[in-house]
Amino acid sequence: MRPALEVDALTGGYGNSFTLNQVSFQVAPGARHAVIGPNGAGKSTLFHLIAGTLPQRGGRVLLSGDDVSGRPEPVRVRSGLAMTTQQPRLFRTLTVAENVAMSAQRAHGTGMRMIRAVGHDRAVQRAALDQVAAVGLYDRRDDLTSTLSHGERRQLDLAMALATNPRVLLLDEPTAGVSAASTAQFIELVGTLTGLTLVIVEHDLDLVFGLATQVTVLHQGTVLADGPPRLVRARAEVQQAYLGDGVNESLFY
Amino acid sequence: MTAGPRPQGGGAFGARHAAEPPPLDRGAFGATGVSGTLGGDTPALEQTNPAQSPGKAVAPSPRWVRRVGPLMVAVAVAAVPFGFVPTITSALTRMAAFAVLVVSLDLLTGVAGMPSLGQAAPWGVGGYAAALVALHVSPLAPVQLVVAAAAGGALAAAIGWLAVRLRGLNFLMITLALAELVHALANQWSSLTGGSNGLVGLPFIRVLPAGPPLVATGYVLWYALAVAIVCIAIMVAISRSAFGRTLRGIRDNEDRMRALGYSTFWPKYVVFCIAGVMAGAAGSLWVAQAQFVSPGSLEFEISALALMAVVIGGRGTLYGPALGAALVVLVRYELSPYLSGRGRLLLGAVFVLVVYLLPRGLAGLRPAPRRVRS
Repeated sequence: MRPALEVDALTGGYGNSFTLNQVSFQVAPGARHAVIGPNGAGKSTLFHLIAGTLPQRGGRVLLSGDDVSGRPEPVRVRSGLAMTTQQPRLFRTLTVAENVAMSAQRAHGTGMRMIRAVGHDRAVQRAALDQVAAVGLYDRRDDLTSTLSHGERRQLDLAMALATNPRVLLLDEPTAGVSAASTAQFIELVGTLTGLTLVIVEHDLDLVFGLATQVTVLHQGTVLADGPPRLVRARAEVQQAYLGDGVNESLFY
Repeated sequence: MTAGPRPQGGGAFGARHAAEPPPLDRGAFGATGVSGTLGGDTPALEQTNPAQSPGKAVAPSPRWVRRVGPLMVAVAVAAVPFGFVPTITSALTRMAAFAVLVVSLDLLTGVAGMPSLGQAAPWGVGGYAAALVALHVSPLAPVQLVVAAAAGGALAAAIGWLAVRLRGLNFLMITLALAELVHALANQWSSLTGGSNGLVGLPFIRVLPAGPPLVATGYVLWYALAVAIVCIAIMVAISRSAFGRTLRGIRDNEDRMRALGYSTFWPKYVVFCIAGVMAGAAGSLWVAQAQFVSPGSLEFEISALALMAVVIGGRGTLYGPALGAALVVLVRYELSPYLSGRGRLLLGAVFVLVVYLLPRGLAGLRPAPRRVRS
């Protein structure tokens, strides 16, 4: 089966010094693929290169075998790629439901429709409220986003990404700054997202090794290890790079 | 001079003077009469809420007021010819024409977040197109209107192709630069535009092919009012549609829109063209009343006044800027002759007062809408 996402010798980053150098890995359809690595390893840069928001200097990004290198971000999103960021990006003057509807109306292809008032597009309204409910914000659907807590904003950001109907979803530290209850809810939500391929950057290693079916370890912009969690965890060099020399093994159990 | 809308008939339906001077700095009525008119109209308009989606926000005023209010205002304005002298009637005609221009600019600036200083370009080109049709082709106002709208749209399509790729201050400056280019062209291309003298002696418009020329200012007001209501209603509908939501998304966070899969060039380009079509139509309404067009219609001052009216009215609300347009026309063009040319000074003072006292513009006089089910 063709990988849902393939990164091939990907190189690029901010300015002239490439944060990411010759990174390659594959993500199978339906996989829960975690990308871990110490701070500055290039995890967020990797995501921005895959999403097309940073200039790519070499290599290829393939979505279901389709080379999307050089295509602008909106085209990649329409090919089924979505991303949530560490700082949620929301529309401040709109309500929770309207934020998600903004995403849903594009996915339904009605974003340029001028005739009917927005309230009359039942399909978009329903799709938006479904996603709002899925992330647990149904009770806050009519509140302005400026009144949400940081955790709720992250939930809303996720609902907006899901409403684009992605096949591959990139989650950049989805549980950072989120309460324990919301994290549990997030794990439950991820369990329901069958058929969706997830790539997760995450610092919480308990979460990573509980959730992931595949793990890629980045270190100084290159791939240090790539494989099933059990094998990656056992690799001595990973422990060294990630944790220093062998003193914090308890973090890896 | 009448001071209130009494149905004494006659006056406004007397003949217009074909040799009237250009509309700037003109007028022959008492200032009290005009402020009386606005004093009567404004509260009714403030209670109405045509720019808000009924499902999204609820005004404190009862539903029937919001539904019937705009209609009552239109009827009141339409009844003015029965009670007033032609100058007041034609002043209201100019307000209607300018309101369409300002609402088109609000669609661009307030709804889509693209502040333009070049909206005089499609307005003036629409005016010239209408004047050329009137002189050489047909006195039929609907023909002039359609050609003017098409000309405004075509110009916007050309300017927008370049301008829409820029954001913020760069967008502002390129719209200004390209509008100044059009202004210079109108001055230079004398064989077509009559140079700095403009095009004079336009025939009275007709609305029906077999109908009589509209010599009376009252009929011209009715025509302009009808067209203005249709144009503004179309723009309000666009603002409430899914496309309108897309535009608000671009205004709030264009990068996020791209991350949701929107190629933002197209919505921005389309709204720029729509605003151009509407500005062109507005230009034809102004010319239908003035029977005259000159490079003055393409001047920077028109763009600046229109943007000022948007801010005075309350950006993004559409109905507020329509009120702002009436206020700007009143002060700049109608009251100016009585102030020995100090109209701009008064306009500046009005602007400063509005910005400080009403941060959300005239639309902010209404209580803030309460959020309910979306």
